[in-house]
Amino acid sequence: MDASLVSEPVVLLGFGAAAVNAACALRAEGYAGRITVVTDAGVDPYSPVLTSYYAGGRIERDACNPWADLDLAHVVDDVRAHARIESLDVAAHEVVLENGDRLRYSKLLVATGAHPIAPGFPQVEGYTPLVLRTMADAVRLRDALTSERCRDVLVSGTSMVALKVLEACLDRGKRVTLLGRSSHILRASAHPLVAQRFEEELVARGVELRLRQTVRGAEPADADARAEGGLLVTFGTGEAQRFDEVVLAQGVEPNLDFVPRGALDADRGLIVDRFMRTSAPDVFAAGDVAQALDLSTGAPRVIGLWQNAVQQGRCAGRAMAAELAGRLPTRPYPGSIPRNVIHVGDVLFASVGLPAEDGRRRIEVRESPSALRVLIYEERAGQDALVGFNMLVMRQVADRREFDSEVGARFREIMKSYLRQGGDGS
Amino acid sequence: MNDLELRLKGKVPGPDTGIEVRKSVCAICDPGTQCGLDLYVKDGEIIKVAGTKEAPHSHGTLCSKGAAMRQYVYSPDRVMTPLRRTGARGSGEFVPISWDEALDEIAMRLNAIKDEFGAESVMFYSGYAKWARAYLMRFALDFGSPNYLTESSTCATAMIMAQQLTYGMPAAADLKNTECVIFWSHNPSATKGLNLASINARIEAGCKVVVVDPRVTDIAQRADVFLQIRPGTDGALALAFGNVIVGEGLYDKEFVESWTRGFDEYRRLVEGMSPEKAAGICGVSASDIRAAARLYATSKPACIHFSAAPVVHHTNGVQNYRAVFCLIGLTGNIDIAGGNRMNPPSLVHQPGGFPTREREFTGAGRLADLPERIGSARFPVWARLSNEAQACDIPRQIETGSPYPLKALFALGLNHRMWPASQKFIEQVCKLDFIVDVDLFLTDSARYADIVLPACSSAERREIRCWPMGYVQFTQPAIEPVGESRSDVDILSDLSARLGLGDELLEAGIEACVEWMLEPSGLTVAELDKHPEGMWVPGAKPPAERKYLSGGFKTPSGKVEFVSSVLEEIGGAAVGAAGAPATGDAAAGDAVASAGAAGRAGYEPLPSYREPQMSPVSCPEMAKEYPLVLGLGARLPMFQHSRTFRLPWTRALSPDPHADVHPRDAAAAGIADGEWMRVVTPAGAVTVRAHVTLVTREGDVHLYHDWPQANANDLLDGDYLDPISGFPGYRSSLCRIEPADVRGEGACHD
Amino acid sequence: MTSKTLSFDAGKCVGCYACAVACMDQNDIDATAGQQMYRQVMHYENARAGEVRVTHVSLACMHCDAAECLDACPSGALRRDAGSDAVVVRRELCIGCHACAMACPFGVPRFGRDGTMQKCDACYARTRFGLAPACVDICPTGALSYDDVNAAMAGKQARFGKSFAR
Repeated sequence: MDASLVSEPVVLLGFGAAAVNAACALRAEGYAGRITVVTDAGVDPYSPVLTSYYAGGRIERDACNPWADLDLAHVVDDVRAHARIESLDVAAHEVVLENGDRLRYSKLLVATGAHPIAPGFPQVEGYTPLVLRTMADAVRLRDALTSERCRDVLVSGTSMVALKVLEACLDRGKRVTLLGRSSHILRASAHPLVAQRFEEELVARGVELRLRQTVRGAEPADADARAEGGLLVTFGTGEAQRFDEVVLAQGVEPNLDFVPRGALDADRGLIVDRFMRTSAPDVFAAGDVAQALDLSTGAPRVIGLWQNAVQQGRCAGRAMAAELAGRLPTRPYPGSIPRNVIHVGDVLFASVGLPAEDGRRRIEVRESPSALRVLIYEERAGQDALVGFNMLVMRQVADRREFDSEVGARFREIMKSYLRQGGDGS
Repeated sequence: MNDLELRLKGKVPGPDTGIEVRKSVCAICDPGTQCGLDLYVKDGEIIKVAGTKEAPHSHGTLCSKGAAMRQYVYSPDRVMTPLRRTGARGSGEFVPISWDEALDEIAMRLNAIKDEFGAESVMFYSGYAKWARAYLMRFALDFGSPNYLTESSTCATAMIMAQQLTYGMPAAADLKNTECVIFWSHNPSATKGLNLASINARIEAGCKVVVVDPRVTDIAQRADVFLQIRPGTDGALALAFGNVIVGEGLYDKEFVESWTRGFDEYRRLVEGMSPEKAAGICGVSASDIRAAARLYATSKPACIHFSAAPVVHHTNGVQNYRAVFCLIGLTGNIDIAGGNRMNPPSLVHQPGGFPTREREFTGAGRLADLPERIGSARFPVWARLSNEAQACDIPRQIETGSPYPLKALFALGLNHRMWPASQKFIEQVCKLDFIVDVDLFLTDSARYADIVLPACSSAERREIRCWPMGYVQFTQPAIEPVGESRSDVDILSDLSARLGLGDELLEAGIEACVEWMLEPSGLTVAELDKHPEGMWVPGAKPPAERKYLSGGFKTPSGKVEFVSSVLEEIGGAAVGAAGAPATGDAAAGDAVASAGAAGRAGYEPLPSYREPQMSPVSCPEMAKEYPLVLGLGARLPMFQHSRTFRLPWTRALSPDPHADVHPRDAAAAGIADGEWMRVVTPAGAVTVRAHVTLVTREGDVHLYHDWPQANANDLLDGDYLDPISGFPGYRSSLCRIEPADVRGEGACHD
Repeated sequence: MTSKTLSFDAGKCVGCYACAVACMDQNDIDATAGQQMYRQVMHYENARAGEVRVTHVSLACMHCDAAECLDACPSGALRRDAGSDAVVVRRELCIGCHACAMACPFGVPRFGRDGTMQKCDACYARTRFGLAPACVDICPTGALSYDDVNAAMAGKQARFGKSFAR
């Protein structure tokens, strides 16, 4: 590293789980230099996971900061709040902000998270559909859902976020229609059998499902009153339905606009090594922008999970501190596998690994009146190994108890399946 | 959370939190193992329970039952006021009445029954609590009834009788000083668990351990020799021990020569029970029997840790335990340090190292002038050895009115599921004119009472307890009684006055009674009151060894009796006169023991072995339909009979009735672990969950007892009794198991 | 400061459940309302060479050094108590997302009727004031202990050493 850079601060782009844990790890490893955070939000960090709970009224704003009792002011020296990043110059070790400020860094962590995408929803003049990612999004959604005017909501998307938005709407007593292009909800994480059962449970809770459908058009329901009268949405089937609000939750993509094309190796996110290092010297990435090792495929993949962001941020922080101290980093990021737990009301769903079927896999379905499990096995290293798991439980407390002890065990079993194969390579 | 909030959360005692620790004793299980309770009281309410560190026996620990004391005290099932029945017996329909009304009515009714039918027609019964028994017996005798009865009619008395017949009085294992201990059907993990620390310490120090048990208990896994016998064959095993010890000359010749009666007859008896023969009867190996017998006989000193009920809950129970206790005399391990010690009780069956007048207080001497007790004719050995009446004969006497009618029952803690054929028992009891039950809870039995009186728990009353190491405690109430409940003794004292019994001492209340009983000890209530947490008894001294050297044993012969003088006299058969009675000849067992004998079958003066009345050996025909041996009464650590069933904390640990079944028996019946099954006997059937476990012998089913919805004791006939003690043969009969179709069993307990 | 640690010795445990009930008493667990107990006692049977062995295990939260649940919790409901190193839940912050259940290697997290997670907090509100955890206080066999880390390790080493004896 250029000697002149050593005195520059460590700059963290973003102020979420990855950045906060990177900062804490830097300090824990003895880094005493300056840490500068650049965030497009306020000085208080928040957890995007909590925004749907805030919108649904389960928690208040101050509970959205999971580090409230952590004295971040003693960890981070400078928070550039409400700042937008214009560009990154990896050669000059410099971040340029929209306001013209130029921040030189000794080490840089890109942890800017992701934003929702909304492909294919028609533009409606005078109405911006709601989304849910940032605190600002959550405030807007909360306002919309607390409005007495709002009775019918269209949630477009079948992702985890879509279901959390749906739950927030149900919490607020709204009628919800869930729209999805795919034939089932949670396409990426739920086996069709489980998804279908989940869908039945949603319908039983009053949700209208429009799967395998698209939106053909949308217009203000009442031309004079504009959006006050809601939107008239026409579906691919030709049916039209009036909604007071529309929430788009079709997926996210990383916030990497400021990274010049070609500056960093990237695919869907920034490709990182086991210490969260990107292809450019002194630039690290963690969280939803980072494409780290997915053990289930052996290839780098963005797995947007809170716990991954925490552990990647910590790994990056440790590695930065080590390099700044002239040591080689230790304790690499071990990689992870896709997994998720979600609850909508009293329905609990968990997914681990790859729930999809293909010809080589054996599927086992275990069903009871109040629980459904799908286990997916594959031959790995000569053994029948569990590689995918879904569990859905409804109502019965006894099953929920099993859920809690089982999901962790399945997660570990599946991790083992993948690690075993890696280990048997010789 | 600020500091005070944190202390409150932690329930840390102190002036700032307002939490005060008050001392009491736990009486959920009883007696002998009373553990010290630290009750954390805030605003007059118990908010936490812990063990008392300075308690001499429990050292600050508790078992799961005692730990649940708070829910025991504050159970929503507590009876809050006296109740008078308004609906049919058993319906549970009552109206609250005042104490005056209740006690006056009881006094009026009991006196009227006494006038019309005689005092003996009124029964005075104590289940739990045991602490008030001396008072109840005095009260019964004051009233003029000889019929003082207790749950010991199916609990400890038969074990005591076996020892009385053999060497006069109970002799407890001196674990602390022993080199070898036989746990003969004792499972310290489930019962008296707080002894474990000292047991473990002895084992660590190299003490040898032999365990005799049909189940693989924890202690069995730590034994040098474990003999997993077929239930009810203890006597055969003990005789085989005798065979080895006598045959190999390992017995204490000097002691046997000077201090035993009938050794030659005993020698001939045990010669007929080789280890090989016993191995066939008991289902263990002859070499293990030899090893265990040698270990016991060659370790000096060695003791036998017996237990109250398991061995005597067989139709051959007293004789079986007699055969076991004979080994103590045979090896000279009687009343020596590290052997089995004779330690006279001070209070509530417990030695405390000081003399009292508890026995005099009961007034037992008055029995001689009263009519014969219930069960005396049917169980004359019992009548000879015990001051109580035999409660198992109650249903017969109610039904037949012989030798005189029974009309009323006054009970402290009635549980009809204690009796075999419980339902039939309660049906007979319903024929009585008047039933009073004093209890903490409106139990299923209390529902049959005409008047229910609310008793309080040990936390709410005073009681005096002592411990063998010379410790005594006269507790203070830790909290006000819940509702209008009162101490059992207060109730007896008040009622005594209203009955006009003229017992000034009892009427004066518990302090006066305790003062009177303690008189020979030099202890005073004033001194005890200075130490609510208990105190070491000044000058308490361990009893001398070999007290028999002056005055002999408390048997008719003054010796340890291989041949029992009492059985000889009452059984009416000289040894050998009945033609070598059942010298453990199992092959002859098919002729059921009770059959045939013109005299009193089973009363052999020698501890002969007979098969349980119902066993695969004694009833091969019946065993075709009922192939499994049924044992009732194995224990789980969180339950003491039914006393903690109603507490959510203990119940959550084992919510459903169940039975232990060996994997092969379960598989043969098509039953998987956790599934519901029916346990069927000729007398009835219950539906319980199967607990498939290797702990049980193949061929045995151990059914946990006292469950209202699956009452194990209804699976036996009410006359399935040991002819000597009148004890039910709970631990060995025959059954089969079959899958049960239970719907809605998934109902979760949340 | 020497830190203390809660240890369990399966060789001493007899599965008596005193710890489980003491824990429920200390924490006012409402079992009637379905509230889960924090400490579980389990029994395992084994038969080797005809000899039956039953092992009893008393388990609650392990309060791991590198606690996965702490990383998985997105709401700040889980934190490490500075005074005792216990991993504690602030139920008022729990959103019931069950991420900790997925993360915990030991199946510890349980959820109440209000949907929030609950578990053993190593009685940090007692140990802070010099008292032992309720489960340790009551244990009749000494299977559960709360000791100086070095003392606990010495005990473990002694047990290991003894395993060579014969």
